[in-house]
Amino acid sequence: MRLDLIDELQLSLFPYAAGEGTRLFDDVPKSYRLDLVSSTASSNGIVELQYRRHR
Amino acid sequence: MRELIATVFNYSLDGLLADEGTEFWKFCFDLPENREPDDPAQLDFLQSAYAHIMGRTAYEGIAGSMTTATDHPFADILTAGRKVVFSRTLKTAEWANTTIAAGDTAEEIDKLRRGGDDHIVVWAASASGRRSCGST
Repeated sequence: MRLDLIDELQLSLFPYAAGEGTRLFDDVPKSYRLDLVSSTASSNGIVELQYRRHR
Repeated sequence: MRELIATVFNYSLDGLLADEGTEFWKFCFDLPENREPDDPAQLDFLQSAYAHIMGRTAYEGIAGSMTTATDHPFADILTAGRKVVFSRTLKTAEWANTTIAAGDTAEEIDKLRRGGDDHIVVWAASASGRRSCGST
């Protein structure tokens, strides 16, 4: 993350606010823009998000 | 050039990865399709990766769970796959097909990127060391 080497990010977003856990974006450059490629919701409430790093 | 694709499971609305032992972790693994992920596209994505790269924390979590829960849908794929652990402290990696990259991270990544147009999977880890594909 810190070196900004990631081209694509695939996230499984759960319908849940955890309150505790490990921050994903603790180590990113100050500005980190992404382009949404796809978003797919499943019946169990998980949303699959696909992003490309904006270059 | 190969692309780096980060895959992040068990991600909460407030931007957190599930740590083992938390309520969120339990919630994630109470969903059967998450405990036993069998989406063919997902398995193919992992299978077709040139390499799987991770830090030491992720490596220890994934190696631990995938070598004990060998019936997990990811286990055979990840054991057979090329794995590179980015660590300057890890001296040996017992898991099959695993090498340790202890040099400059950007240079090591660059080496892996060259020579193909497929993809490299980047595994995120929570501080607890265990991961989404871990057995509960």
